[in-house]
Amino acid sequence: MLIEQFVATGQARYEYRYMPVLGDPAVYAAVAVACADEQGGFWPLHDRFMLADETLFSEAGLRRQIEFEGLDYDIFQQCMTDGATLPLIQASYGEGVERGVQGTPTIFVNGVRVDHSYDAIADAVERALNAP
Amino acid sequence: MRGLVAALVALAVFLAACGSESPAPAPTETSERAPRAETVVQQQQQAQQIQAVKQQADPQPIRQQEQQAVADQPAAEPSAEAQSEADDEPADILVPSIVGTHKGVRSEGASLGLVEAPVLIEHFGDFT
Repeated sequence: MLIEQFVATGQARYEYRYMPVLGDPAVYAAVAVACADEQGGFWPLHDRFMLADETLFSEAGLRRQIEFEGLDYDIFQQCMTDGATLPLIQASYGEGVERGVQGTPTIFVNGVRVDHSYDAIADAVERALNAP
Repeated sequence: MRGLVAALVALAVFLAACGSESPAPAPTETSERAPRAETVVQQQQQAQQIQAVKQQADPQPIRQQEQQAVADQPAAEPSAEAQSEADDEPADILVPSIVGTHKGVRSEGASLGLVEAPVLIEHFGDFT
């Protein structure tokens, strides 16, 4: 709803930052999404992971999803194994640590940390839009 | 006769032993799975690298380190055209993100929305 209300209307920009704090599955998912991003497939795979689709944690399930999105699985698999996206994920993680992020989700609106509830984010966006 | 039988048995045992040490076995299910096992090992190595980052909690983001490394390198003489293009690009972009749309909203890599939007929502997230 935030996307429709504020981002689609041009009032806000939404940026996702990798913060894999929940162990190896989180790192695996972050690498997978970052590799999909290299082929322009960040958001479909992001949405799929956010639906808690457990099949993505198997090679067959992930391959099915990548191919469903029309991405090249061979390129994707090469990216998964060569670690090319790790610097990006590490940089994002390092930035989170530097900014005091200790758990997920953590939301900042114009650099100010806010609660991750819809009301809190919407209120912070409204205030930022109305700030002089 | 017994000696001959014993010799034949010994020869058969020897040949069987040689056969079991053949250096080029036919492909088996196990050997076909080797690349997959290697992939798992590599993914575990990736996870270990991330873990190392967590433990270090390095306050300086890697992207900044890379930018500093680039800045420290002696600059090659850019052509006028290349210099003009460089002036137009933000300094912090290492790899250009692919621009597209997602659910009708402009997308660029891990971002949604217009670059010039007055408010920035940053979401530090974990997919699990």
